Amino acid sequence: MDSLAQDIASGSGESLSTLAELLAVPVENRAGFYSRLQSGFNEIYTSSAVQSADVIEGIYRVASNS
Amino acid sequence: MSSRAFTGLLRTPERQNQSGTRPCGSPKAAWLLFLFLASILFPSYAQAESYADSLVEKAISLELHKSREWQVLLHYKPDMLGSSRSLVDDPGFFNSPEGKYDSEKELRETIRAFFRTDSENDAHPQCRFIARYAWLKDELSIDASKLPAVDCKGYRELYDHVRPRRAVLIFPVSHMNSPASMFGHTLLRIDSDKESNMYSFAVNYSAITDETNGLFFAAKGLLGFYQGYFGLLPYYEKIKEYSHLENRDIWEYPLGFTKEEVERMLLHLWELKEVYTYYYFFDENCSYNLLLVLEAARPGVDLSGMMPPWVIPMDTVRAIKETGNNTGAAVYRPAKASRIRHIEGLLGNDLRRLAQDAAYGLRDPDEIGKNGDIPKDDRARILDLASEYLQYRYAKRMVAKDEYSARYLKVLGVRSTLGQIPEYKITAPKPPEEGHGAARLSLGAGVKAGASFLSLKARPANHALADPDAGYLPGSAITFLEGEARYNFTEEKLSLERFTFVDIVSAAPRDEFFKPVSWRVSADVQREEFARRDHRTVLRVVGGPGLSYSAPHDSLIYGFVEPEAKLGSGLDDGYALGAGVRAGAVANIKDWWKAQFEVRAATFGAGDSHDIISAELNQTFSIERDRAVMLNIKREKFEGFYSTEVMGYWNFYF
Repeated sequence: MDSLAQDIASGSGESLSTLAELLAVPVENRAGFYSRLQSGFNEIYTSSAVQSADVIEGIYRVASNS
Repeated sequence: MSSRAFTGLLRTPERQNQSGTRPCGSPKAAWLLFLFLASILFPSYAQAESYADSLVEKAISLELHKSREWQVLLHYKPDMLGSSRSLVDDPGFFNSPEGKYDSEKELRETIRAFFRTDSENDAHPQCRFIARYAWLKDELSIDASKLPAVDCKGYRELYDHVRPRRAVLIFPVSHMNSPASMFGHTLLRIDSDKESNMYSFAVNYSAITDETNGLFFAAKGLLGFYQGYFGLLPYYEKIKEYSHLENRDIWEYPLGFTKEEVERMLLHLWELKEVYTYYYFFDENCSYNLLLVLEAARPGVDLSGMMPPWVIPMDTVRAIKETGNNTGAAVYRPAKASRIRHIEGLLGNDLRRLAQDAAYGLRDPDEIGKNGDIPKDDRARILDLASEYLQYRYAKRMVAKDEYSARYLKVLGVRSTLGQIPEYKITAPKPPEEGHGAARLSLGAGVKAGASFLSLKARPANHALADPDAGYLPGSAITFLEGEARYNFTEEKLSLERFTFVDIVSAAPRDEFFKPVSWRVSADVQREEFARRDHRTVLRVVGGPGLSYSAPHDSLIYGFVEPEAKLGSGLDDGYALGAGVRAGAVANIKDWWKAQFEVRAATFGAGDSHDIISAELNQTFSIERDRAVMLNIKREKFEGFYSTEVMGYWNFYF
């Protein structure tokens, strides 16, 4: 969870690529996926009380806003 | 069989009997009747009995109990008396009460157990001993339709979860400051087809203990006090444990196992589920037990047989390399601390300070993010360093959760506005298997106070501060059971100069981000020269805390405060209690040239009162991986006795 937040904030990392694989993001779309999540960081992690379910929902929301 | 059919069958012979076609007294008729009854009453039983018998017979005539596969599946090993026994201690692992010692009986009972009808599905021996069943089924061409039908749901679910495809040997390096893990650790990872291995499964063998004191753990471990179990858990949990909490770099060695072999590994692990083996720190430890699992997966390879009587995790890595089971380059997974040190190294002092301030909440991350005086990439690095350091401090419980979460998200929020920067390329140190062998034999000669001598030293493990660093954790040293014998030409005498039971040095460098306490401890028997040509043998226990710092040119400076106790009949009152200080530096001047300078002063008051002051310079020249030359010079003042000792050694590591 914390590692994923860190990866999303920096736009790269193992947790982030694992997430992309789990969500079946095609390899050629991953760079775009990473930068969308990075710029949407504050929408995904709205507060320090955020729950995993909110994070997943946030990721879906941000990733589908293209 | 329905109950109606069952009662119907039961009645038929009764009627025949009543009809009196045959007198009851005829033994032959009764026997035939019994067989007849038995065959209708328990048709599957009788057939099963004979089928089981024929399978047992076939297995024994094929001598399957002597086959390598059976031996590795049950962990049979020859013992010191020439017979063999299984290393597994849990009676639940065997089908025969004598299974631990008798591979043939175990084979017979195992085959029979597959026919049992008093348990079903996961609890049934076909599921419980699924690896044995799978192997015997192939070897004996067992017709499964003649056996009780079972559904091994537990295993099936595990298989679907793990999706075994590849196996990797995992080696977290030694843990600075923890004696129980000073040799590192080994575990296995089972990968699926996924690219990412964070969700792979880690197979870990460990002793079950709530002992938190590392020294007690090690001591009890030596004596086999603990039960060891295999466990399966997500690899990311292990990464968290090693890389985040204990700050140990991890090396990953891909094993060239086929899918079938990895599946066999999983079957075998299923059999070892909840099965205990007494855990011994030195021989039957994590590394040894993992080798047994690898052998079960690939019976053709004998890994455990090539082990010395003591197994250290590094030997496992060497064994899989030497037997060609490691395919592909080792992957280096730097620990959190290595990452922090790397980013630290990319930033100057001032910028590092900013990162620390942000992590401590002394500076608003926003202010750093918007600071136009600092290049954008460096601002991103500062915030990366701050978030890494926050995680580190949280893992070490140096910051409360609420405070951490709020600050962490704040830092990351600002970091997310700074875009991507070039990936951190953390240079991997020399892989551990490229380090010197743990055992060492030293042949040397020297002169002390005008008397010349020959010296022979030997130790089984592991690494001394003066040994070449490649492959080992710098500043961390542990020596076990080292003996030194000397022949003194002047005295014409052969004597035991020293026997070291254990000598541990943990010199962990401190900086702005990390504040570990160093320590050392040693126990030995030493022949000390307390006056010219006057010797006494003393048992010494010495150790204490210290501080270490990194210095330029890949060097480490350290200082220790050490209480010391000596016992020996040559001492006044038979003992001496004192304290000393020790300070020094170790430098890697070149790849092949290491130097250590150390000064020491100790004073003994209680018991035998005396003072010792010494200075020494030890130099090590690496010739190749397992050869080195050492040159040591030591000047010592022992009360009124001044001596100079010069020694040269040729070191063989293996």
